[in-house]
Amino acid sequence: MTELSTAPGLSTAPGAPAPPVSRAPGGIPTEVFRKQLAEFSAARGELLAADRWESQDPPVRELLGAAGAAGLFRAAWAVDEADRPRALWHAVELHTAFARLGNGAPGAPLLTHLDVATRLLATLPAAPAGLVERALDGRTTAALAVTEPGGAGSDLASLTTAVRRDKDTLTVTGEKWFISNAPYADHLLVLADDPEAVTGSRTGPALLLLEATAPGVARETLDTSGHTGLTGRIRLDAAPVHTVLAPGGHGLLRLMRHWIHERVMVAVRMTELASAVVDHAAEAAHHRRTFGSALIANQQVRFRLADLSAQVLETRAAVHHGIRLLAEGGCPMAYAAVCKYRAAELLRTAADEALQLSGADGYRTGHPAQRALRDGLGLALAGGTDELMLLQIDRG
Amino acid sequence: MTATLTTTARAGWFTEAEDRLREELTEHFARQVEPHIPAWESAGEIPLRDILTALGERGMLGLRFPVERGGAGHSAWSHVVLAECLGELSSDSVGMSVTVHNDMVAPMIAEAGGPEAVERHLRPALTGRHLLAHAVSEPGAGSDVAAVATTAVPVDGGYRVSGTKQWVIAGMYADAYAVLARLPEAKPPFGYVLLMVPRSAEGVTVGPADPTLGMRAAGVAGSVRLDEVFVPQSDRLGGHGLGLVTQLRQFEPERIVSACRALAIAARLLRDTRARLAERSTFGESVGSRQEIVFRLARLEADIAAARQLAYTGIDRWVAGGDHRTVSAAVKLRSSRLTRRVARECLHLYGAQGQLTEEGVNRAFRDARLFSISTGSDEMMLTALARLNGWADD
Ligand SMILES: Cc1cc2nc3c(=O)[nH]c(=O)nc-3n(C[C@H](O)[C@H](O)[C@H](O)COP(=O)(O)OP(=O)(O)OC[C@H]3O[C@@H](n4cnc5c(N)ncnc54)[C@H](O)[C@@H]3O)c2cc1C
Ligand SMILES: Cc1cc2nc3c(=O)[nH]c(=O)nc-3n(C[C@H](O)[C@H](O)[C@H](O)COP(=O)(O)OP(=O)(O)OC[C@H]3O[C@@H](n4cnc5c(N)ncnc54)[C@H](O)[C@@H]3O)c2cc1C
Repeated sequence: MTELSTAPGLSTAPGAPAPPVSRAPGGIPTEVFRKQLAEFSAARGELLAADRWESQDPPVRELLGAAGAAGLFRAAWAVDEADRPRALWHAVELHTAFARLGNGAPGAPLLTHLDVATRLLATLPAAPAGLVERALDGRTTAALAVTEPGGAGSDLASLTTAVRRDKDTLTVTGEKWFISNAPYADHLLVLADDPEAVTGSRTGPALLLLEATAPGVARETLDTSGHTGLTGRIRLDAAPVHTVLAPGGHGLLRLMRHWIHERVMVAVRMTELASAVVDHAAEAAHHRRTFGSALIANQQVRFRLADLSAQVLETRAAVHHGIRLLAEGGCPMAYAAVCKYRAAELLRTAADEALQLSGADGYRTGHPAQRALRDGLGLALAGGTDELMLLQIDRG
Repeated sequence: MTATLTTTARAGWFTEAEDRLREELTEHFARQVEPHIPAWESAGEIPLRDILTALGERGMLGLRFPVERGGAGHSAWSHVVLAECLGELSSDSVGMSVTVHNDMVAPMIAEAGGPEAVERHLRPALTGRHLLAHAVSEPGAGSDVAAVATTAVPVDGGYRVSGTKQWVIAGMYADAYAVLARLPEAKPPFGYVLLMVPRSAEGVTVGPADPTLGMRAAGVAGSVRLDEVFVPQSDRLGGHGLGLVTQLRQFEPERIVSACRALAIAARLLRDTRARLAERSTFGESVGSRQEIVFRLARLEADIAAARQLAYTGIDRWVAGGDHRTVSAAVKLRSSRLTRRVARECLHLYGAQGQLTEEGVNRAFRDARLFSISTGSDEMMLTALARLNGWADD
């Protein structure tokens, strides 16, 4: 492959114009972190083994603890405003590396921990002191519980979980499902309707912090085809509220802002999962032989892989631009939706094609493309479905 | 697919007797099979013998085979009816296992087996008491069937067979396997034999497969090891040296029948999804009434309707004794890809609930993904089509 570059020596010639400055997003050195991530994965092979993440009881807390202790979360966390670009590009590095570990599965709880729960808590002044710090050390984790089995999914107006006042305590009753990391969380960030304005001066959805082990809280792990063992159902029966994070009428607004960040980060993860399975398929096609030659020797196989690789590059470029916008302090909702929609589309296509290229081997549980396909179909729903993204793109 | 479109699609293709057969099968499956599927799936096992015996007792197995070979002498259309009814079931572990038995292995015995093979394997199979599976693929021979390494050495009165087969649907349930083996002097496409190997024969060891995306109750065998297994000449299907040819020929009609099952699955998924989305509402309107959803489902309906006509055309040619190779490859390709897409779209449209392993749409997605891989992958169908069109590059 030829690299496009200026002829050697030209830019250093006396009187020549200054070398062109790259306008591509990024440009923040992450090599040290990359090395740190490589060391982490080398030292934690057993914890990251794909089969441990195919069980109903994957080692989520062990992973979060290890990653926290190794400083992986802090490396991707901004200490102040000015540090935001550095932190974001380190988060990209983190999700990129984890997309290739354990068939990409351990990256899911990691993202939920860092870029959903902890990030959201950090934006809420009412969050209990020290909680974010402990989360960054991997010692505690939370889950964001919004979706309900009855109706509230894409449309959160039909929320039935509600907060009420019971003498001098606030309690929540209702049911949530498909809540990432719920089985492993210490805290639940619950979106609940506040029909009587008991959390503030307005009615409407409130965001509440509950202790996961509080009375009235029951959790069970869902048996799902993707995100194996990683999502849960939560039943709340007059469960006590620990902290009001956002009062009635403000809960959804907080989440809307948060979701922009979450969607771009999930898009990074999806793009890199796609990239990983395409690379795996290309590698495998060198080894698998049919009709006397390697699969890769067939033009049709090469063209399919080449097409997918172009789609990966394109989506990565789009998603990295999203990171740049976040770094600069403002990614519009519609652009975050472009990132999430495109990446979901890419992942489903790439995983399905990569599975196909592996034949029966791809149909086997334990094959990276098979796992990526299962997870990818869930990711096309989690944090806002494709159709919700399309609606937001349309709104501009 | 809407009921009217399905009826329209079938108009003129089926006789009244076949319509009655469909009614009987539909009722039988709805009462005796479908209600048990959730429990079978969660146990990871289906009572294939009971399922087949019940069909056998009702005279619904091997309908198209000649009466003198244990069949009912009906046309292939009766097998299409069975295939479409199997597609209505929410577990393709059932559909695929019955198909392997009745439409993949049984036909080879009916058409290429000698009288003893018919007595030993076909007649009991058509009562549902003798279960048949198909052991062709090997670690080094999937798409490239001719690369099988399992070897049959001619000996006095038969063959000694050694080798390992992998990925055998219903292999854990079966009583006998149709095994493709090479002769020591094999030169493709000649020099192969197709043999019926009883599971009870000395030297046969069967092991389960690793977990898979779908087909979790299909009793898939991960390996069928044959160690110097003696097979009498009378259990050979087709001539000495003609095993591969016999096998490849059988694939052609079977693919059309399987395509009918695939399309029935796709039609059922669309119907169920449409019903669900009519009930589900967001932002004040039913999701099913949104134009995006209406158009998406309608496009898929059109695709299914068209593919069905291709399948029926193929069956018609086959029944009439015409060349159906091109149609067979085309409909296998089109139906596999379409069913895969329909299943994926429907899964998505079920929202989070569809992610639950026990949901029918989830199982359908996991099971249906196999169509593009097994009994001739999409790419092998493309290869066949190019070759049949005279576009081969060698
Ligand atoms: C792996 C995974 C992890 C998840 N993690 C979390 C979590 O941590 N916390 C949490 O609260 N939730 C979580 N969810 C739930 C997720 O947010 C919801 O699945 C999602 O919001 C969609 O809601 P629903 O499943 O109820 O689908 P529905 O809203 O019922 O939608 C069903 C289908 O209809 C489509 N649709 C809906 N409305 C329209 C319309 N107007 N026009 C066109 N199409 C439409 C949808 O796109 C979807 O395909 C997770 C889900 C998954 C799969
Ligand atoms: C659940 C399950 C059940 C099965 N049941 C049975 C059974 O009952 N009996 C049985 O005999 N077999 C069975 N199989 C095996 C199945 O028939 C094979 O998987 C299939 O033939 C493909 O072979 P392969 O997996 O070795 O893929 P490979 O031949 O290795 O091919 C891998 C991929 O590359 C493509 N490819 C191969 N060659 C080329 C080329 N030259 N150009 C372009 N693309 C190419 C293929 O289409 C495929 O997508 C089963 C498989 C599974 C997963």
